[in-house]
Amino acid sequence: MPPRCPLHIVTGKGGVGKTTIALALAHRLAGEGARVVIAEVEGRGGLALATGGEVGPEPAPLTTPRGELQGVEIDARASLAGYLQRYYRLGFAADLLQMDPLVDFATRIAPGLRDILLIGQVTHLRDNHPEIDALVLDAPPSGRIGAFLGAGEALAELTDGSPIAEQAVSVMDDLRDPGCRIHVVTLLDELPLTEAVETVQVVRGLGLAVGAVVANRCLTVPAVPDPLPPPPAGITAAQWSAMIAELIAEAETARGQTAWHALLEHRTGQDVVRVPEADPGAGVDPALLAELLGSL
Amino acid sequence: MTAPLLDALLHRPHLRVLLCVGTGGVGKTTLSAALAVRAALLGRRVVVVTIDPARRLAQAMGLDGLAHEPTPVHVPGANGSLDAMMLDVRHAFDQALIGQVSVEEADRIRANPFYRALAETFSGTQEYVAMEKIGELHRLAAGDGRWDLIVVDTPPSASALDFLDGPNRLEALAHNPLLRVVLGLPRGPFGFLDAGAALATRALDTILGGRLFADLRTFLQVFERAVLAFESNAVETRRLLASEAAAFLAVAAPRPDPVAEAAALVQRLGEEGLPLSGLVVNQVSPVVDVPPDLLATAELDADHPQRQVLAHHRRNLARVRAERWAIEPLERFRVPTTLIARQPGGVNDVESLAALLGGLEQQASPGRDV
Repeated sequence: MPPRCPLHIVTGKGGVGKTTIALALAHRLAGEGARVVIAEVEGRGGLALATGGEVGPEPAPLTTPRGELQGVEIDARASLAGYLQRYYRLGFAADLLQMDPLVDFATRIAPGLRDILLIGQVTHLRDNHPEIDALVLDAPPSGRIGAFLGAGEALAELTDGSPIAEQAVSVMDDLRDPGCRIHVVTLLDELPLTEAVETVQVVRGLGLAVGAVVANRCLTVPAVPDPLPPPPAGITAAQWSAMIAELIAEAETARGQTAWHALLEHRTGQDVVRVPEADPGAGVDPALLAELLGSL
Repeated sequence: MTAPLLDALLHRPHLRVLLCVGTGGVGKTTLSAALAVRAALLGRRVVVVTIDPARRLAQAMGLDGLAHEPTPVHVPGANGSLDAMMLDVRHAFDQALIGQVSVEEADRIRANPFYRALAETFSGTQEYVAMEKIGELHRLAAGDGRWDLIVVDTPPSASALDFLDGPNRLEALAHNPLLRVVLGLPRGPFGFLDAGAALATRALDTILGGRLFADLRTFLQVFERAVLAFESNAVETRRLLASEAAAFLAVAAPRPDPVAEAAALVQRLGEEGLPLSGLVVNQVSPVVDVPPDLLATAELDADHPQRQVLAHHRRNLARVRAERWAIEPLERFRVPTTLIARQPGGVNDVESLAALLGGLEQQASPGRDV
């Protein structure tokens, strides 16, 4: 079997811009001339929302400004189907998939089974599509990432000898492959940052490789004139002091971010990749952000 | 300026349960705490239930960490009272399930891998437990009148709809015909055909392996009893949430994703007949209102330091326009909407929690001037 393409797993607390950064990373990789697929699991429609197009169970071109990315959505049912087809007779597998209650039951009740099926399907995308040069996974939010990535370990222990254990072991091998990196996205603020630090620890605890730690929507400290100037002609004293208050508040927030940034580097032992806040009103173009990510 | 819409809501004499719903990262936990403090100031006897608060938020309420039992919080100048608690999902789930079995059985169940998976990772457990806790607190409050308002911060989740769907998911699992097949119970008129049942049992045995399949049977026996017990309470809680004693606040942030989530949520609440009382858009950029022609004139004559201030104001205006554009899709619902300004200093004590709502700017519908 030829060596598998790199797998980039992107996670972070809800609301930090995980999908945007995953797209930016995909653009970054595609910019080097690679064929890149971006996948989401149990689609909350993040990819479709971000690109304004449809995302289905087979890789298909995304409607992005440069059009070179492919997107795919992996759901539990398709994952179970993929698993059954890999391990069982076709007829048996097909009969089973006719039974909705079974699909629901099997993918919900067993510890980690759903996650193993999902990750298994993601990593097997690379076998079914050898033309893919890089695969980016817009993963579940970091609150669940430990359970998601650690499911293989838990399941392999429980089910020693059964077919699903084989899948669990092979999934953990795939994740521990040097070509697999887990990138953690955060904001420079208390809650997302605390969660990012915990995520990095969990990922390392599982023996997996942390890729980049990305700080999204970073502010630049604005210059505050000293001494503060008097109001220009036509602006009232009240309006002027409110404008100055806006400027000082932003400077304080930005300086607070500088402190959070230092703490994040200290706690994770990694350099943090900064992605600045998009120009207001210009919207976020992941293709442009791609250049900022450098060589992850 | 206070927030008349939210104050009016907190003043409603019949209101007993206020739920903040919305996707992760929009500031639900802080908003719930701020509403609870405000309600206590307005004279209500409040208990606020949160799932996963920041340590700093707990400290802001004067607690080292939030306890799993309602703990009094001192609110200076309050006519009412405030208790706060953090829901311990694992413990509450233990109580719900273990309460159904003998002590010896309980130990066996705790070690059961299916039980552990469901307690720790199932994506409906937090919601199930939160629903159960609302019912329990309401019964306590109705019993001795210790509280007249329960404020609920719903569990952090990727989707705002999870709070409504989570408990259903757990119940659907309990009513899955396969569960009865695995347990060897009679399957009822809508169950599987026998051939299907045999195939399904074989499939589960094959996929899971023998040992895990045996564990599954043990677990399901307890699980079925527990969920049936839960359901009778849940019917009552749902009736409460659909009544005028309850109010839902949909919380969003002024960005496209949380707004899309909030829109889906508003729609769902309507379909389910649940009382949506308002939208809150959190983390809005504050900006001073200066007529554009005055601003343009000022820019012409300004010196360098003055330009630095004006340029930042321009940038802020663009940011606010982008936010207005992002929240526009919420306008069509015609739901009373409150905008809350981003707090640069954060929330450090009970006073700043109260000030969060004190700094509120509010309006009948978003999209016009703040």
